[in-house]
Amino acid sequence: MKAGKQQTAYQIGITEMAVSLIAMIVGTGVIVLPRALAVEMDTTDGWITVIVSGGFVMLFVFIITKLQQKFPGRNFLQFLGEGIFGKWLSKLLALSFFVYFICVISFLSRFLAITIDIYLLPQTPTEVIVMILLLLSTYAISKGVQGVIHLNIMFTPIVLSVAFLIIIFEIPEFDLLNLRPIMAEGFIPLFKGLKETLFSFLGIEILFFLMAYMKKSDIRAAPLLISIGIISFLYFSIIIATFAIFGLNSTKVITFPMIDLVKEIEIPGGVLERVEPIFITIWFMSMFNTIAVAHLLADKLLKKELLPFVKGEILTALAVFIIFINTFITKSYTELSLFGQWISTHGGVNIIACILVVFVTLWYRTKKNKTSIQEEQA
Amino acid sequence: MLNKLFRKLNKDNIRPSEEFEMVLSDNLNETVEMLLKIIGDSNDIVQRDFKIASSESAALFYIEGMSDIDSIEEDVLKPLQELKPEGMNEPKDETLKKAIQDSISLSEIDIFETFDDAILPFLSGKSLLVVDGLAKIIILGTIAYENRGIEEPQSEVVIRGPRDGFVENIQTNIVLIRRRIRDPNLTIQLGKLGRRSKNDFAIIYIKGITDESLVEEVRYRISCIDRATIEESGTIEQLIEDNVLSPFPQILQTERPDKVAAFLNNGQVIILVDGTPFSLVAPITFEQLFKSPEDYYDRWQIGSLIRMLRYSAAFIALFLPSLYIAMISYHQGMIPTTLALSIAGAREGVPFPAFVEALLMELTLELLREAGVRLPRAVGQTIGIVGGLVIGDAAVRAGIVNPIMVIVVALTAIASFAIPAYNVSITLRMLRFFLMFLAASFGLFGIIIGYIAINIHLVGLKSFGRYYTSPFAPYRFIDLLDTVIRLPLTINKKRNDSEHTADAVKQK
Repeated sequence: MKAGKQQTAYQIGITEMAVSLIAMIVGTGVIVLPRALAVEMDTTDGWITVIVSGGFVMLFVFIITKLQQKFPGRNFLQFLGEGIFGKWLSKLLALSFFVYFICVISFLSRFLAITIDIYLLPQTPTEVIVMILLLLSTYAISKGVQGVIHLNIMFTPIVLSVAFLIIIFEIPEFDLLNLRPIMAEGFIPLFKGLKETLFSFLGIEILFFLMAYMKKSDIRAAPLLISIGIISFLYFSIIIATFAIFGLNSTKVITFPMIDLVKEIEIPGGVLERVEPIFITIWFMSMFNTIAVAHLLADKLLKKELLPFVKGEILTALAVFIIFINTFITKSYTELSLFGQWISTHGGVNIIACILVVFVTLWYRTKKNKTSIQEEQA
Repeated sequence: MLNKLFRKLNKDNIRPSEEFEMVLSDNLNETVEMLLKIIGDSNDIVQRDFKIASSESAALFYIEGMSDIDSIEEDVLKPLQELKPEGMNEPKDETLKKAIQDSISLSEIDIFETFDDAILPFLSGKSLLVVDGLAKIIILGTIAYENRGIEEPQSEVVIRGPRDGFVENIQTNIVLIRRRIRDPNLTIQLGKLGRRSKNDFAIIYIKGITDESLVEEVRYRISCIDRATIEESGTIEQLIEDNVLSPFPQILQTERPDKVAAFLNNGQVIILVDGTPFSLVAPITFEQLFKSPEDYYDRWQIGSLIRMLRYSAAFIALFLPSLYIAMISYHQGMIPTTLALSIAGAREGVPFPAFVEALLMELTLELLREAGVRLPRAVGQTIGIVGGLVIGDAAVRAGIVNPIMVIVVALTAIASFAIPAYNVSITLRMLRFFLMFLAASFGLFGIIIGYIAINIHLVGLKSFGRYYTSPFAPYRFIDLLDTVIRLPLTINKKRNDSEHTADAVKQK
């Protein structure tokens, strides 16, 4: 009611950033990854690929952190925007990211709507579910960066512990013979699966934007690498569990392997007959986190970078409308998967383009600075 | 937008002048006349005319019932009347003043030169003395304190721990705190609030532990209050909290001095108001509402167990009815087959959907509770038994609800009593209905929607600039351990939320 005097600008701590990274990356990947790998690779070596791509992603995260250390307190768009040429480039990148985030939200909403339709509410129209979801995420982004980050911190521990708990419950059912032979067909399938696993790590692009809210001394790579490690371990255990329980051939035909894993669980004492509704409910929190972060960034991009001259909340409403329409462009789950592939490629290209552009700009500006200093000295 | 509205509503209107623009004269009759004009037509004001040293006429005013008549007779009237007339010569007023000061055996004598200064202490129970030939008003400290004995607070009962609680008198309450913290840094700042009621209030904090800017903020917010009367500390609470629209309490209220001492030691600010045993604690975090001082008096394992029990109680109080509704109406597959069959059997005669059934029972429960609180204590218990047993049993027999619903409602009720802070348990009761509605519309999906919405709200909430959801978010590991379980005292050496206190370490 009255303006607090001691309220200072919010800064993301490094732990909070690490947790948010987990919250952003862990989403649909967990549910569909084993099947995608089984179809793509036709072997059970998916777990090796996950470890390899985890290493790759760590490298990416490391590079992004190092780059961000050069311009703390600003995101890369603001950094690029300082040059004449970079200004247009930053607008272009902002547009590309905006489209990407909008599509991510649409994809996730549609995905959630489908799963909820199958497992929780068969009679409720998906439009209603998506609408509620978008209303909720709009409410979440009204609390700003601090609100969304804190939401991530509140939900991620619950989601992670539930996921690992499920896998622990599954251990007695494991049949590790299903995992053999290891690398029977050599290295080629590993490369085939690499694209798929790398895409399931998408979400690291939030580092470009959110690390601008961190203190300079806090921008360190190690905690972020640990969170990538945790995610890799999660994917790794899920893939092992799926293959060990269902075997290669069944995994290929199961749409949502993780949910089917949960179905296998028998709660001791028989307190509950089926637990997958609870799993989906909890998983909704994780999906919601991803959606909220993407929504926040899309909203910020639209307001700050793309249309800074439009005042008021009309842009937020407009963005939500676009997302809602976009969500229902895909008609079926197959189309949605294709859409997902397309988004993933777009996201991957975005990340690599960003790293390259920022790197070149940084190199160019340092060189220019050096020559100007030399000129001054001469 | 709302902020704008509030600003408009709070805009400072022209305050009616409180000053009496009158000049004191040294003529007794004139002064008395003026005084009577000011304090007006109240019959409880006693005027006692007498003569000092059987020569100087004087008048003593006091309010019947508020002043200690024995003390007035023994310490004021008697010595003044028996004063020897010798030495009462020129210059008159100086000698008079000295003679009065020397002879009155009270510790509290103030001499004022204007009516403005003198009226307020007079109205709080002190007596007022005017003497002919002296253009001053003498105020004598003869307040009669009528005190309730210090008892154990009814709203916060503990098994192990001190049995004293705050009373309505602010002085007594301050003494209770001072007894516990004999630190010279304990700072108690008194003031008056309310344009007409002029309630005493105190801001209490420990210098060196509490962040100065926090004290500044509390002081600023309290000084912004402009109301005719302050009825209770709850009024202040509503006027200084951060978010008026939130259902969650952002300031903690307690009747326990030991709890207050612990909060002071943690760097928080206490606000006491005269006339109520409830003190306010600011700023607080959500988890502090779930702590009881008792947790720290027992062994840490016991404290931890009880604390976890309390969190589960909060979960049950909030979610159980909605989970029941969701499972019965949407996810029957989740219930074990035998139980599902027995529920179906029990629900056979019930004509309503689960939501209406639950709503009926929950409303009955709230009604019973409210009635139980208002009724005289002896009758209240009877109502509990009659309501709980008779209505519950009759409702089941009549086929309005099924027996499992009664179990759900009873469990919810018991769970909501296990939360130490009364105002949070009300909040959870309110949100329970919101979640029940969502569960009836969307099943489990609705519950998680409600849960996320509550979390979004909590995350945006602040109490005096401190994040409400700390230590969950922003994340603080040690604080978190002391929230979910209770750390052994030897391990937990930092104050809670140590970033916001001037002195982080509480023991070495």
